[in-house]
Amino acid sequence: MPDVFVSPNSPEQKSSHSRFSSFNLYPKNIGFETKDDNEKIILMLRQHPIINIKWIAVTLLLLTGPTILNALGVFLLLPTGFPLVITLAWYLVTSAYAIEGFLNWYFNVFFITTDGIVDVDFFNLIDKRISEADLDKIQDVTYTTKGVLGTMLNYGDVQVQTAAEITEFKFESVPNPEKVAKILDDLTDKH
Amino acid sequence: MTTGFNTWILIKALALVLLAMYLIFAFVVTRQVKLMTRTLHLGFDAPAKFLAYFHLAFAVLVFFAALIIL
Repeated sequence: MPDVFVSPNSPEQKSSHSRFSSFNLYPKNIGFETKDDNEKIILMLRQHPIINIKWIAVTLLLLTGPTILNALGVFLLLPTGFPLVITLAWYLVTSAYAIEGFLNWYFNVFFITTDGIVDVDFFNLIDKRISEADLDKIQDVTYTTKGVLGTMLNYGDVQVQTAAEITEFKFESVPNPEKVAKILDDLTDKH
Repeated sequence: MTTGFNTWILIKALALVLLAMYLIFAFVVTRQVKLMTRTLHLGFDAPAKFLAYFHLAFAVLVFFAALIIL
């Protein structure tokens, strides 16, 4: 079976990186706060784009709200000015929901670097958590593909057991979980 | 009739309070984006900041619209 992981110094390495991709091998011009100067990013992952379907569907439904209220005659019961303000406020909340949905997907990422694994999470608007584990601390890597959609679109969870402070890392709903697990296995074997 | 008038004034005041609180939320979103772009360098700083400031500007617009129209 051919090696999935090729040493970062190898001329064979190929970069695959696009702005909205969920699986970026040897991404260029990206980084994170705690990255060392000589540390190279081998793989950057975020959740499979299909995960976005939930907030996109809800946003589309919410966009129809004012039209439905108008069709039901609710606005006719209100004094002048209220329908316009309610409509604007409705679209404002809808835009916030969509923006949050997108940003949460885009900025919650996982990195596999030459030094280890990094999980970056943002939650509660102003909190962030960066979990890191060195490659030599990785003990076990398992992956699961769940459900019809996961099997069809080839995405799933990759669980990494470590001897670091944080004993378990879970890369949720990432594309090509088998390939991710293989890359991690290859890296830990070489380490 | 006076009671009805007072009710709508109360609703207007409540709407303005809610929208003022929303302004704070919109401002926090801009801080959140700043934190995200400072933590991760993904080459998406400008569009992410644009989204956050667009949302804040929209919130300010709705607040003033409510203040003037209601």
